[in-house]
Amino acid sequence: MILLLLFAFAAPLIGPEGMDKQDLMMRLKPPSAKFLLGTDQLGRSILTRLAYGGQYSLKVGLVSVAIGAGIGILVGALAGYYGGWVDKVLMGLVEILLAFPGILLAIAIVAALGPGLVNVMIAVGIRGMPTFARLVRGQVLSVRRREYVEAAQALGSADGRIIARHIFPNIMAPVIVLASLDIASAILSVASLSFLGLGSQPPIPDWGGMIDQGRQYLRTAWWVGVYPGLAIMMTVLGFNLLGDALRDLLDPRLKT
Amino acid sequence: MLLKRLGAGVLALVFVAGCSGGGSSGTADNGGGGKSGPVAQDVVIANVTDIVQFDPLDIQDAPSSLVAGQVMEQLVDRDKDGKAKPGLAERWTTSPDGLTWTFELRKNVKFHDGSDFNADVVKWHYDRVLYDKAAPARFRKQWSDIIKEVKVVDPYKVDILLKAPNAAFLDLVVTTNGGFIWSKASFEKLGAKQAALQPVGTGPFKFKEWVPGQKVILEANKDYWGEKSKLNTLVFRPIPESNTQVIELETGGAHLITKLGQEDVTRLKQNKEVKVETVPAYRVRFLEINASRPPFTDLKVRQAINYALDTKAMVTSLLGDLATPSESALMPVASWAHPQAGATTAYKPDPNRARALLAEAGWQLEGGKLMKDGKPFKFTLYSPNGRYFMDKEIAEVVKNQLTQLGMQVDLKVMEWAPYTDLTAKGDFDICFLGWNQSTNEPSIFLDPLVKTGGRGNYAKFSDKELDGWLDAAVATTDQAKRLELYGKAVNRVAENAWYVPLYNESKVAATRVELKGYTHTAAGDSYDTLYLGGKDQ
Repeated sequence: MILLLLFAFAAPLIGPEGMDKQDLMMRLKPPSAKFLLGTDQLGRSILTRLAYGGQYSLKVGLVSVAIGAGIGILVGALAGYYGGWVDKVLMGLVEILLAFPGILLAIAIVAALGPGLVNVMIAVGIRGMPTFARLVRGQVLSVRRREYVEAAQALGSADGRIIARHIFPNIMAPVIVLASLDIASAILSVASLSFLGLGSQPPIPDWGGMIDQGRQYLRTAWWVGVYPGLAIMMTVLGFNLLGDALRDLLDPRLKT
Repeated sequence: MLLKRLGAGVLALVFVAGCSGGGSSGTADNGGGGKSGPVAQDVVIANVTDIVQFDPLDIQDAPSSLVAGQVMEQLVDRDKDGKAKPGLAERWTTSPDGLTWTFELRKNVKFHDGSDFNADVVKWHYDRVLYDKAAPARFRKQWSDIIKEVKVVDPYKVDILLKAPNAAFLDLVVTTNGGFIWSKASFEKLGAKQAALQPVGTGPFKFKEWVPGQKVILEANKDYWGEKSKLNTLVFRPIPESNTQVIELETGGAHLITKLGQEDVTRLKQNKEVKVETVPAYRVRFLEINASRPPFTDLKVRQAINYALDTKAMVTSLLGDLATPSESALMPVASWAHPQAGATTAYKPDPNRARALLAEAGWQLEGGKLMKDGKPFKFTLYSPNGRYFMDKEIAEVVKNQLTQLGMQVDLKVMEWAPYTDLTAKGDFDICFLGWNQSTNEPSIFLDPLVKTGGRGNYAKFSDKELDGWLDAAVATTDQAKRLELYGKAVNRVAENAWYVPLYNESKVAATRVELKGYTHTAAGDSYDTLYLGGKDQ
């Protein structure tokens, strides 16, 4: 994970000339001392583009999870805390969203909003929202009847204050774990959308888009598509391991 | 991708199952997999997309036109050099004033439904072309601008009366998709909608079945008036991805493919089971700059863009054998009207000249960005995705080269359907377009693309003097005069600098060695001479 972060943030050092430096005479060259991972179909360094693409992937992953978690937590907390018809309506909507396969939902949203960075983040965020809503609702339900919450209610605290001060601190651990795991699947979703041509517009070196371009050359210049694929694999693995580690750390039952 | 592969795998399984099923029932006499028996004459051609429909009035896409051209025929056909040769008309003459074209029709020709081909059918067909509201108006206009009336002289003789003499009449009217003549009897029996899905023509192949998204099956017409095909069936499969087309060819899933990248061409040339051929074709690729939108209203800005682009370098390195860099609105290799070297007002790449022109137009570099009156030089460049060879990649290079001048270029790569909608409306700053024809007649390119109101002039550029030259060039049959007028026209287009010629796409075809009788020409493809033989080269 740390390596990945370093790699992404070192992008300007790895490729000081920028992500779109083309050299048409050097197209589709195999890995060499000058281009460690080779060049793509427009003679651009794949290493440089992977690094810039890393920045992009991390940014999109984080922002879309923030969007999904933000909306999801709000919806889940309201539904769990108030119960009754609020719960029924909100969770009904969440169920509808859950009924769609995640990537299909994201594709539908991007198709409606049009391709582009911001729309991809919104689409992937909405895709992840229902899981957060369900998790938070369950957690809120379990702590809502605890003595300290009822005490706060008896003292006449406002609902918003109770949710923010008394409920949230006690349910955040699983949400954090879910968020770190969700970053991995968000990055995968973004890569899938770009692969399908619905993500970023060229020349942004999104990893999914790079795989899509590399596909044409798989049999003549494998390095164009294989390295971005490896990058996605490592990143997703990294975030999954991070999520597992966080869970071990934050789950009181696992502490000995 | 994975799904497609799976799909192909399943299809293959189905085929295998189908074959063995046929064998075990003991009724099949073609013995598909027999070791010593004759080769089953079933040829599979890869088409870039599925067909749309077959009403000749409304065929606007190359894949449908390719299939329709095997089933239906025109009065006049083209030989492999693109010259007119008799089709359904045995001979034709023009009156001295150039206003009446008389076509003498071939006798004893029958449509696939058994009905007769005669002058009545020809008149009915051209009346539909001229008056049927079902055809898109801008297509109908192409014919109604030229033809005044169609008259039946006798059962095998037709007069077509023109509004004015037209040197390109055969190219503009007779040999276009609209010139495909189909059966009146079937049309009246089936109705326009159904007839468009199961075309009935006079051609060497009969339409058998269309499985949308999978294949179109044609079978040889045993009663064809000309030389009959040796094939049993001719199948067109839509395979949009060049990569998939190549795999299908290598594994024997297709006998002929026409979409492959430069890298594949190099690699396939090593393969002994495959033959690769490229020929220059009548296909132009270009950028249109919307001169009605600032900052492109300024001629100097448009000229700067022309000077900034090194089109030759991008085309030779990205496309190699698959294209020829182009200096004019006509094809350098394939058009007789393309000006001789030195006679064009072509733009040679010259970034300094481009910078100087931008400075003259008031654009100053501030912190690496071009600015004028506090505003940045910003625009959107539109490109289709995979419609033309390497279109997206070319657009990326264009963006890169213009960005180096300090322009802010937003590149939008779009799917074909929304892309044509947007560009045909003229709703763009700069876009990447192409134009394909089956002949090298200059008017068939210049009139639609650069004339005021032309159906491919999406940027809506207008130059009345240029229009006058183009009109004069079709009104005369004096070849020297025409050459001079087209020379002037092409140079004027360059001076106006809104039409940036990029390259002429060549036609590439890769075939399996066992496919014989294929002639690869710049004109339309016909497959009536194909047959399958041994694996010798």
